[in-house]
Amino acid sequence: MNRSAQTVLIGVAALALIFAPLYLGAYSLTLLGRVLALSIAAIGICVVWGRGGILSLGQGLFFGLGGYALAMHLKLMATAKGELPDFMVYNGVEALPWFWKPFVSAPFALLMVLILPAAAAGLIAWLMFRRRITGVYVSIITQALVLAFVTWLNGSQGLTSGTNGITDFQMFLGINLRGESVARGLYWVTLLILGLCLAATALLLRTHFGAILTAIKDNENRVRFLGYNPAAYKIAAFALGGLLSGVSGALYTLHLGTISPAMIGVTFSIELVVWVALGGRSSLIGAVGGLILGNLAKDKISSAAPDAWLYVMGGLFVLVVLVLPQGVAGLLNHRRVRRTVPSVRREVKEVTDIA
Amino acid sequence: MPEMLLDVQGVTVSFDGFKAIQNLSLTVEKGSLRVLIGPNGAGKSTLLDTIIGKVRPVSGDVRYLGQSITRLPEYKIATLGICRKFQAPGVLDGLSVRENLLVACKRGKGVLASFKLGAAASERARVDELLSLTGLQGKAGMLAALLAHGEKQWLEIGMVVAADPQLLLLDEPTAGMTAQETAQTAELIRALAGKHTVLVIDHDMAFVELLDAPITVLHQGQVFREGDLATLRADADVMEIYLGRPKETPHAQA
Ligand SMILES: Nc1ncnc2c1ncn2[C@@H]1O[C@H](COP(=O)(O)OP(=O)(O)OP(=O)(O)O)[C@@H](O)[C@H]1O
Ligand SMILES: [Mg+2]
Repeated sequence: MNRSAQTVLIGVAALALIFAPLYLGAYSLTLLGRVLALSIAAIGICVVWGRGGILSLGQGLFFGLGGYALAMHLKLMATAKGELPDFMVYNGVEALPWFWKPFVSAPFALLMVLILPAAAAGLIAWLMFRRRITGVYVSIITQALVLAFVTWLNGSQGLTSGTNGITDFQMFLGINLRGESVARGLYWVTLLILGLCLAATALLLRTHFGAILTAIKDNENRVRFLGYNPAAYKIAAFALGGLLSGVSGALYTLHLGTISPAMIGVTFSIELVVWVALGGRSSLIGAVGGLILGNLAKDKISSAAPDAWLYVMGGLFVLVVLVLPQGVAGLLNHRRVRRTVPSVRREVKEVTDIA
Repeated sequence: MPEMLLDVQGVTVSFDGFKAIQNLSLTVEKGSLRVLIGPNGAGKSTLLDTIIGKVRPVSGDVRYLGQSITRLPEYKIATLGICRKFQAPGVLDGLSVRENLLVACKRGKGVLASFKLGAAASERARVDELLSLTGLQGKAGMLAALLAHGEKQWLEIGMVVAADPQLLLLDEPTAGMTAQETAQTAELIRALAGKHTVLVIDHDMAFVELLDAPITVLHQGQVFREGDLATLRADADVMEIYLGRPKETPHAQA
């Protein structure tokens, strides 16, 4: 596909998305908005995996941190002054835990939506990349971390509402979330944030930073012995991926009106990666498009035949691994396919070496 | 006394008990050109690995401009002005030739400095200079992955020279080159010596002859002899371990 065809396609898609509230029914609009929120996490995966070559299977952790940060604020807003959130009462908690207190403030909660996931991702990346942990070990560690987080959430009923998750929101920034026109507004806000994240990331990847990330993926040692510290670049990329996941999680929580451990676990984290792989991990549009279309398809298939869903996803993943290593976007862009063949081979080799 | 740039003092490198380098000492004067030869497995590449911090010695010290660099992180050693070309061409496959050179010649290597679009005029000029130095002008926009083997070698030499390091370490820079390309490379390296200090490893005697520089012979992880090519050729022991059964090079037969 050439550049101008690509521009036209993106333009048409953008227009269709902007005017969606005018032609979509309530159900479809809610679904689309939710999926758009989710696709912000795909941008992060494109940076971290597609460009940086770091396969994280634990993006749900950062997604969850963003989501819970906002949910804590929303829960406090839905609780009468001086009282405790309902689930704390049921669990016999007598005073608001210290880490809940500052979330009364909306600016603080919004700041935490950004800071918590980015800082957690930065810290995890620092611990891993300083020790030069790479390849499948990174995937295993990140997966274990999201599992640990979910387990902790589930086990801490009184602090986090456990398996039920945090739910029953009413007000946010003075807006009644159950109001009539909220759905449209939320949709547009989500689309705007998605657009901003996409544009900012696209710009970032065109800077020298983007070139160094690609270089590190290709040949980390060459970059290191040219005087760069690859760990610093990988930490920055991973923190950015975490940040985008967190923003995605917060928006998704707002759309769904709830967040629970089941929404952010291992399956969720892997599903994100599968859609990005299918769309094309080294292309922003491919990653985002893959996630949006994949989730829309999932909604259709899983409502028609709930049992078939897992098989469909498994089949798609096998398809991507075997015949479309660069996803649909790679199919449309030959230059990219060629450039990544060696690195895909290397990854496959790493996996087989360990097996 | 001429100023010493590199001073390797009694270095021993051990891989799980196997001593790839044993109590090896070597000094390189500022501005000089030095050739390192030796049979396969003599420890030549390992010596370079030790200098750039890729492997750490179990004993001994590597000093650069009087300062010990044995414990510095690799990227710091590189920014002190030591740059190495690897034995297997180490170009950045996913970037164009121009981008490869740009990555190599950037002054600021920190993350914050990297959030910049495009390149400064001075960097662009430097890249153009390097393109003509390596004869890759016509391929500036090409992905490095698509270059021929010899061209990759040239590109990597360009990258190593890009940041103007004091000490250039070249590990078999002519592997995979035709006789003519080898001659050009020898000319290029002789031009670089003087301005830079250059340490070259190679197996190809025709190339070593063209370089016309003092030679150090490594054998079993130790310095075996030092001298010029003629003296070494007359040395029966050297012939025995090395010249007597030279490794075939791609164009030796050509
Ligand atoms: N990372 C490593 N682990 C274990 N052994 C190693 C390692 N690197 C090198 N060696 C061994 O150390 C010895 C010296 O290897 P080195 O690569 O330095 O030789 P060389 O002189 O460069 O040879 P060549 O001419 O084949 O490039 C060899 O026996 C090699 O097998
Ligand atoms: Mg070698």
